[in-house]
Formats: sequence, structure tokens, C-alpha cells
Amino acid sequence: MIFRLKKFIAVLCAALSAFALCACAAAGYAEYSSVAFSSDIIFTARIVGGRPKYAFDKMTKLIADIDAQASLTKDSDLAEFNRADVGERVEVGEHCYALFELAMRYYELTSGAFNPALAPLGELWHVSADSIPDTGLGDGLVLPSRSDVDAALENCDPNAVVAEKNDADGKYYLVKTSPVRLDFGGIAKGYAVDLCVRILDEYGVNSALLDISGNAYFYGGYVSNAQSDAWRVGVVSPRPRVQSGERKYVCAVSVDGGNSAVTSGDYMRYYVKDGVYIPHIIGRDGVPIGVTFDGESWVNSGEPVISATVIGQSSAVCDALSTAVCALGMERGLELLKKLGYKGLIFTEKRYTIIGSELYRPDRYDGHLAYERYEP
Amino acid sequence: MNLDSIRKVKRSKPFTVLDGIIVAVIAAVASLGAWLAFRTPASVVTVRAPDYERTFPLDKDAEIPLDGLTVRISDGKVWVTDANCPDKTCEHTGKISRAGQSIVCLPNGVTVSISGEGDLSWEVG
Repeated sequence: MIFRLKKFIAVLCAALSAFALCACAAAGYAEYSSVAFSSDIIFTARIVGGRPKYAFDKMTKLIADIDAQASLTKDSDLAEFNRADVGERVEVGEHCYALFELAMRYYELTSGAFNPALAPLGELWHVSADSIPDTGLGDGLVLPSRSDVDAALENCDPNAVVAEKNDADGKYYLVKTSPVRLDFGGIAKGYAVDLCVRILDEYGVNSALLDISGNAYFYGGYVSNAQSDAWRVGVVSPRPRVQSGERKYVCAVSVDGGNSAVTSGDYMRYYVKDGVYIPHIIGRDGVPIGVTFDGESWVNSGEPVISATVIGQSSAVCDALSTAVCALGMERGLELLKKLGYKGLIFTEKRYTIIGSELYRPDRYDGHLAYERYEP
Repeated sequence: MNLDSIRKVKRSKPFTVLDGIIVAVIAAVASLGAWLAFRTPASVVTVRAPDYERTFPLDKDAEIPLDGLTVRISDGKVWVTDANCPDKTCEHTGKISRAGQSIVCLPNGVTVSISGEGDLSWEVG
């Protein structure tokens, strides 16, 4: 009789643990949520464990706050600063102030390859977010002259902005000493992601994916079928340059939890004018990457970076560095990533180079093997 | 040692046929539960509009008329047609087919997103 009872208990335990396992797996199912703040800013989150709903709401509110302070399209603190006269003290929010400090740090570290004060050049070249032609064709647009570019470069030095934190009233101010304008588009999404990660910590989340318009962050392991693993992240193929429809991947990389990945490339915002390809990324000489002046007109030349993915702990830094790598070119971009201890993947039309990550061939593969590997 | 008692234990059947059936049934139920919980969830399409939220399987063709636009699902792809908004950004997004991709129509307040598992966990670029 005792024998029977023991057996019954053993069988019951086995059955209970099997059901408990199922229940755990069911609770580990990831929910995707998306919210659009503007056509430019779309926030997507996939959260497993903790309190996903609360975390998502809090992150959404944070992004709205940052957007209200640092976007250019709205009546933001930053837009007010850009409209202000030289010498006028403009009060800004803490996010706006923090973004300025961060942008200046990466302006210095990249020797100006990441520049938050390029607005005049963006407009001159018709590549700023609101002026770039949707059609991808520059018909009717006029390209600037070399002297226009040199003149605009005068007003693209972010050192002409002085930030001030008033300890007495706890407020933040920005003042310009010459007519410059700031644009945090190259760093604000990454900055927002970094702050969202702290919210995930706060709400006890186990695993999450955050993405604000291409600034991806991988929190914890990738939970799939109740298994936790590294994240396999596809890198969208930069050629052919498709803006919509089904995209393929040039390769995929493995990314450990606790890292962000951000890609910049010449295929995202561009147009073609008289056969010259004009991408949105502007180099330190004030000219879009891959474009030079041959004495008479603008022509495409050199081997510009067509896609740069930067992987590392801070999404804001990845954001700034991916742009800087495009502006610097493959060799110097690679040196910069190594110097700062960030991982990455850089493609030109002919070659690619990779530091610190493993490559995969994803299902919808569109050949990194077609590129020659560059190893310095 | 009593030989008789050893024989008695040997003759007794610790597992009867009924026990076997019980174990088999429990194992079957547990593995069914495990399969339900662990199987790869097929991709689903979530359509959100003001006062509207529904999910559809990606592998089943559907036509979803909403205020201002129509969402179509066919051949494992999702796209938007007949949008009445001025910019038609949603139509220009084209067809989406992978988890994590979405179509947004701001003027009509509609988002269409795909979730599920593929060979990749995300994409950048």
C-alpha cells in the first residue's frame, strides 16, 4: 500500500512539473507593441517578463517628452533655440541640455565627423528630412556652388553654442555666439533608447527588444520557444537601393543582450540629380559623401561607405558613430570604432570589414560574399 | 533472509496495466500541453485603428476595410490600398511580410504590424 502511494505521488509530481513548465513557457510569449509619434519616429517594443504594460507606457511617455524638447518639426525647445538671435539666452529642458552635452562629446571624439550643427548644409544640398524629394529624383533642384558650401560651413560649428546649467534655479540654457542651428536627429533616438533601458531595469523585465526608428536595443537574451539565446540581427542590404517593399539582408550578426545596434547608410535618404547620386550624409568638407567637385561640377567619386552598423552598449553612441563612420570612410571609420571599443560592420560598394561580431547567412540573403573582405 | 518473502515480492506486480494507462495518458496530456506552449507561433498581423484592434493570421488571405483605407493580406504579405490620406505614406510602404515590420497611416490613425518568429530576431538598416 505504501509502495502504491509513493508511486502515485511520483506520477503526480511528474505531471505537475510538466504543466508548470507549460505555464512558464506560455508566460514567456513576447508581445509586440508599436506606437508612432510622427512619420519619422516609430517606437516598437517586444517585452518578456516583468511588467510589460507599465514599462511600455512609461517609455512611450519618456519618448514623447524627449520629442517635445528636441525635435525640429514641433514647437520644441530646440526649435525655439534655432529661431533665437545671437546672444539670446534660451531656456531648454533637461533632455535638450543632455543631448547637447552628448552631441558635443561625440563631435570632439569623432573630430567633427559627427556634427549636430549641419542644418544649413542639409538645406543647401536638399537632404534635410523635410526637403529631400520623395521621388529620389532631383529634377528642378539646384545644387549649390563650391562657394555656397564654403559660406554655409562657416555657420556649422557647434562650438558657437554655449550650454549653461544654473545651479540656483536648476534650469538649463543654451546661447549661441554666432548664427548656428542645432539638429539632434543623429543622436536623440539613441539617447531615448538608453533612457528606456533604465525603465526596463526598473520594471524587472527579463528580455526585450526596443527599436526607435532603426535604433535597436537588445535587452537580455532573445526568448524564442522558451529558450534564451543571442539575438540574430539582419543587416538590410544597401544595394539595390529600395525604399519600400521586401528587403533582403546583406548578412546577419549575432548580438549579445545589453547591446544596441544602429545602421546608417547612403541608401536611406538620397536623390539623383543629373546622374549624380546625392546621399543625406554630409562629410566634414560640407559635401555629401561620395561627391566631389571636379573644378566644373559635382561628380561621384571615391569609395564611400554605403552602410555602417555600429554595435555597443550605448545606443546614443552607436547612433552618432554610425553617422561618423559613413562620414569618415571605411579605413578611418574602422580606426575610430577600434579606438572607442565599439563593434561594427562597414560596407562600401566593393568591400566590407567587420570587428568583434560573427556573421550569419539569413534566409533572405543577399550576399556579403559579393563584397571583398577588407582587413587592415 | 526469508526466501518465501523474497518470492512474494518477486511475484507481486508493482506496475499493473492500469498504472501503465495512467502514465501514458498523463504523458500524452503533458506532451500535448508542451507542444501547444513551445511550438513556434505562426506570424500574426495586428491591425489597430481608433476603436479597433484585431489580429489576423498572416497565412490566410483577408481584406480588412477600415475608415480611410483597406488592409489586404495575401500570400503571406500585408499591404494597404485605397488610402484617402494626402501623403499616402502607408501605401508607399509597400508589402511587408516579416515579424517586426509595420505600416503606419498617421492621418487615419492606423498601424499594421507583423509579429511572430522567423530565422532572425530583428533587423537594422
